[in-house]
Amino acid sequence: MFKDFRLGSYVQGNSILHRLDPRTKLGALAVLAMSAFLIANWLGLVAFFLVTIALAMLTRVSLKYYWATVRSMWLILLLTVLVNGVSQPGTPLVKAGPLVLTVQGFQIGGMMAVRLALIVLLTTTFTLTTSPIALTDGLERLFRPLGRLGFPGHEIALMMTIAIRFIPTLIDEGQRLVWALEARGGEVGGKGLIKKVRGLLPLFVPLFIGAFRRADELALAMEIRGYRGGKGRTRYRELTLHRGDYGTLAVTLALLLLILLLRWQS
Amino acid sequence: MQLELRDLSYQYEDLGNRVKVLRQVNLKINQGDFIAIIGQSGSGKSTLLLQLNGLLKPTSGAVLCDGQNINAKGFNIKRLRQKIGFVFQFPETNLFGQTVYEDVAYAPQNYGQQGRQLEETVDWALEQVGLESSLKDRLPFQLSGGEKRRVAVAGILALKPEVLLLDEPTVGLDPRARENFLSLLGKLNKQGMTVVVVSHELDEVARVAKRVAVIAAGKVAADGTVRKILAGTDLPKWGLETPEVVSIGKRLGLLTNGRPILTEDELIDALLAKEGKRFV
Repeated sequence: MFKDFRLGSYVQGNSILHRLDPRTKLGALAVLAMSAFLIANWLGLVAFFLVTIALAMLTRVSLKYYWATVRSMWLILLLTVLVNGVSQPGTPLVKAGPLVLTVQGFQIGGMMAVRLALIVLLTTTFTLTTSPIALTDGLERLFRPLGRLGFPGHEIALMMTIAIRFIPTLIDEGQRLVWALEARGGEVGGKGLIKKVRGLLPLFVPLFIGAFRRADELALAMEIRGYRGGKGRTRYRELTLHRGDYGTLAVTLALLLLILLLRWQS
Repeated sequence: MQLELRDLSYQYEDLGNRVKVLRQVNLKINQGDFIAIIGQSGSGKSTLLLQLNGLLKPTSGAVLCDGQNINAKGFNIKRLRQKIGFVFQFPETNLFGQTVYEDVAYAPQNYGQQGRQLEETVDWALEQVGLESSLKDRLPFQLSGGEKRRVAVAGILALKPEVLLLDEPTVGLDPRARENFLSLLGKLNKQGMTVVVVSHELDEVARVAKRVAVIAAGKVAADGTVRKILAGTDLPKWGLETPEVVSIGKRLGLLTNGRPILTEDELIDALLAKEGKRFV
């Protein structure tokens, strides 16, 4: 049941996107996500979709995988369309009791859903090409100026690294616990929400105890190896921006400007 | 109960890459067998064990229980799991209850036992694994490694299964606990329980198992009596080490009843018979 949990997984590779600096990719992701929200017509969204697919293809990971991540969000996308659809005044399309789905609402909701799907695709492209370590390295570097204000950038980056690192471990452990439960006649994932949750209850205590034990051992192992916080710590991988990084940032910013310009004109 | 793996293959997909774990495995396990499944790490032996009570489902082929496909629609898998107990590698994985009592009672409760009957079952199961019933109110996580393992096994025995599946059951046990545990398995098997154990400890396998199946690269590479496999010459071919006792016996050219030496007792007897005078 945990096998489908794939969000945020990284695939090793050597594509152009893999080689970009994590800070560049983070910045580009932010700019592109913003752009997706600024586009207000279908033609623009289709063009943006093509750009997104092109980026996704650059990662050399099968598009099927991208499709699966978007499909796993179908409920959220559908709700976006419906909620927007009934909350806009306009020409009625379908009536269901007091709720009226309007043509205009349907349009706006549809666009919103497409934007969400685009952002999911972009984020997937990002996580597929950026290892968790690279991501936290990038964040730590970005946080560094805030250090003077007392912001614990290194500690936060470390916490993120550890949290991300332990997600697969916890999933594995959860799977084993589910098996152990089923092997003893317990039922997980029965019909109905209450039954489902009740079936999972016995898992929480062992899962938490395991997590605490592991955290304890990790802290000990770090201390043994002389960990003493971020102060004065040198880095194995120094992040440097290359020409490709500046180029990428320039192109994405230009795209954002273009979209703003088009929006302002219309 | 007879369990059979027929042309069973299992693979999973990892980001578009197919990982083949088991390929066309055929294996029959009869009532009363004591079979050890051995092989290198990553050979697929634990996966095979998970197939036997339907925790993992085959990609192709079938798992048959007395001739019936256990993954077919309409087959009552919950009933099957009452008859097939599964002891996981790490005892922590087996323990759910707040107290030892609750934990051992978990499985029989799931199968409808309650009241006096449940209490008796729990007492019986704890006695089987040699635990004092005064432990009943302790927290499972405060127990020692050996005690945890025994509670975990008691929690499975409480189902009174016909078949016991165990994944690396002696890892992390001290020598005394290991000894006790192995004799418990022997005792259960003598009482008629089928025992299937996945193990790296070939010396232990040599002592308790009757039959050995070797898994290499997801296939059954060999299947035969424990003596035939462990005292044979093919173990290095499958990435396994010959048990110490077997090597010593071979090196000294000793035999027991005309067959290669397998256990410590056989080695001692053969040595005494040959060189007895010198030792006395």
